[in-house]
Amino acid sequence: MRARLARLVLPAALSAGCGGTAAPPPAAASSAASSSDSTPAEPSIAVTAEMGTPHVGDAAPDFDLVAQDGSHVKLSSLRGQVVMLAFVTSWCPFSQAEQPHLKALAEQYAGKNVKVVAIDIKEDDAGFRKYLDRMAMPFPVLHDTSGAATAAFTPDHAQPAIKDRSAVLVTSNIVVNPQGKIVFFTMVDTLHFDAQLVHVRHAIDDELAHAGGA
Amino acid sequence: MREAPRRMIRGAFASGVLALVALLACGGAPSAGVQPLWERPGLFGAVRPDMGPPQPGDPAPDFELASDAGSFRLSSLRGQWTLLHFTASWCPYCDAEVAHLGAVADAYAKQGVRVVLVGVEEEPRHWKEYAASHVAPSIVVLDDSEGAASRKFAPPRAQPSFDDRAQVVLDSTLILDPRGIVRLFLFPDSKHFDPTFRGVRGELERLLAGGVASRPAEAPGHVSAESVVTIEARAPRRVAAGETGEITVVLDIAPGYHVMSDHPSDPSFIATRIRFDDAAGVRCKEALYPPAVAFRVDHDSIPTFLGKTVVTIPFVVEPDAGTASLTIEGSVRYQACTEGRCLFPVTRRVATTIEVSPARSDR
Repeated sequence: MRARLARLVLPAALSAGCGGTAAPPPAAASSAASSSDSTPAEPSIAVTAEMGTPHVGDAAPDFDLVAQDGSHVKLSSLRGQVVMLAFVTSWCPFSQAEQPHLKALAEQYAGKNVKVVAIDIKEDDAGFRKYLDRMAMPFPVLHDTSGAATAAFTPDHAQPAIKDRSAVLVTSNIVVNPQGKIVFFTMVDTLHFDAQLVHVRHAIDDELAHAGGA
Repeated sequence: MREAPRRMIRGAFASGVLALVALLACGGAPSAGVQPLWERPGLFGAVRPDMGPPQPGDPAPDFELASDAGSFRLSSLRGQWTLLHFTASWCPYCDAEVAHLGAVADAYAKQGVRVVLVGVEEEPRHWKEYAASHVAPSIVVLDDSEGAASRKFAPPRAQPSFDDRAQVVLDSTLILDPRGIVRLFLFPDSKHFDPTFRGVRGELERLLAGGVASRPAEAPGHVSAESVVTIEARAPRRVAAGETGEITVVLDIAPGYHVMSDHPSDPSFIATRIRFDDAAGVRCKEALYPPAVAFRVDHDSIPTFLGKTVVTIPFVVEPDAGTASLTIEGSVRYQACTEGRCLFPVTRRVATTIEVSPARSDR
């Protein structure tokens, strides 16, 4: 009696429980989700030509900024190397989550003709220090105090709702090839966040393979 | 894990395995055949079942935070539709959205929707200044400088790379129904960023049109199939032998919930069924149900009962029934559902008493 009641009740509970017509396969809901630790299939938000300049294929705008050790870093002086530019702030949780992976990435590519450079966007000295105090970064972290160098990288039509144009690039990642051309440019995708920078690594690897094979 | 599935496992007819299947299949998510929220334009950021609670259908975690008007408890808004938004002054996406939050508050004020804005881990003085210059006065502004309230809302597997769990909910928006149940939990989607809350507004309008009106606040409590439907059975106190009477069963279905009508649209749905047993000298007939109320579940409209639902059960007292005080017992079977999920079906016993008086021919 109990078993018969259960058979009667449960199929109904399943379909009615999901408020729809047919009961879904149990795995359907979870397999489509995006919250796991695994790397998203898509490389964040790729900056496209419709977003304006610069985008992939354009020359990277030059800058000359001061690093944490007081030295100047000029992008154009890094020609001949693959340059990875990471736009960061101390306050952005996405930047915070990326920070250890950025450090690991720099260590991974040490001695491989890859220069990692972070640009801290428009923070005061305390904010800049806060980012560096969280962990020592083995590469130049540049202090873009006015945000002007960052804004030069912000495509005009990207995130038009955000007034502060330098803020649009928080947690953006760019790979510049040895000729100074942008070959990879993504902005943070909050729903498919690649904290481990897997897609950036692929872009760097591609660039190194390309340079090696040329 | 939520309270309802745990109750299912304890239920008399559900084995643990079957309850688990039910949980996996539903998991707080709308079913296949119905487009999940996160596949709808404007709602791609809707919480996914595998992120963990709170999910649509779950009670919103309660909290108490400081506001300009003193201490404020979220559950004090029970009885009203509530839009809850988390923000920070330094977050550029958040800032762009807060600028449009006042327009949202104004647009739905007439329908009794309250808008609550929580500042996540802000220095209190700075937050106060920001709120004074950036937030519309119609919005309830709360200060979660410690992040404790925000953390309660962070699903454990959302943004797994974030160490500071309070930050997980930044720039997210929840719709809570008058019972304090989460109806939408939307994370920011930078890829389709629209600071005007278009997706939230669309969903809010759909929910408000669903017929769940604001209602006076109810005591917070544990949600179960029993707690969301109160049942009262009444019968005429005195019925003469040889005459007929009617038992009236009133189902009071909580706002945000519905039960299937006596004739559901799908044979697999649990029909609401009320039956009374014959007692000595009393024969109970088939229950008479009220007309069904159409309830919209995504693109479908299903026949349901909502709110106060009155069912009558005619009965006949045999002419030879002796005068007595009789208890008539019956059962009420139903499954209570919100738009997104259902509690386990239950069968509850109800009873009422009648006095059988001598047949009228005696007089």
